[in-house]
Amino acid sequence: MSSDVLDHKEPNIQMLDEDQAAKFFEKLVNSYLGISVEEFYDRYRKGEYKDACNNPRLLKVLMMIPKAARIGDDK
Amino acid sequence: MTTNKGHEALQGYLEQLQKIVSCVAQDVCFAYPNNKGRQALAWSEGAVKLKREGGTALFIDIGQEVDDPIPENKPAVTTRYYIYSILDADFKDLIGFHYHPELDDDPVMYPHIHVYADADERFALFNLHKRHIPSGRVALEDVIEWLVVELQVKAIREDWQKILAETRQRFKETRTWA
Repeated sequence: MSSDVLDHKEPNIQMLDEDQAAKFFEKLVNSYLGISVEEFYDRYRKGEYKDACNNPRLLKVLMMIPKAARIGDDK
Repeated sequence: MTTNKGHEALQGYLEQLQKIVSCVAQDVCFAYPNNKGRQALAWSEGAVKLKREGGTALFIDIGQEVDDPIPENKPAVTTRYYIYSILDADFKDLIGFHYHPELDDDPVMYPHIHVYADADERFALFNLHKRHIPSGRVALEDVIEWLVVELQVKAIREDWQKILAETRQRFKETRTWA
């Protein structure tokens, strides 16, 4: 084992509340899709994200939509 | 809404996953309810950087969607989606381990692997990156072990093999599907 072995701390788990989840998701959409979260929701409502399996970043974003998201439908 | 028993089960599940990730990285696990009424899990606010022998790096992007545990005598956490993406140092996809049976109108119902090798015309000819290579359920432990053993990712704790063996055993004992 190399000298890079660290004194790890575990577990580091954060259960996010609604506001924190919304901020987390906004950052994810910005960095993964390069668009604002409002634009993402707009495109999502229009059904533009049909082929997500071929886009791993989009796939993860779709998995991470917060419960309190302003989607406007029950998708 | 997760009950106390359910919350304990979820917390225990997250701790197991975080132990697995702690073999190669120190990133935070984030969890929150998603729009499908499940818990969405992610590590870091993006992909997790992994150091390799020789000074290079890889990334792993981990996401899971799990049911909130039902308060029974023995509440269990069931994985409904997973995505483990392996990316190179330039953040380009190499391999993807996927399970997302409800994703869209024509979902792929089985766990599968994507190989992002379309720079090679032999693979591009078959659009292999869009194909779903059947894999069976892939455990996060197995992906992390594969990265360490075959892709020279550095383990950052001495007991990584013990940790992965323990979490793998628990996974086999508690999983509700395979």
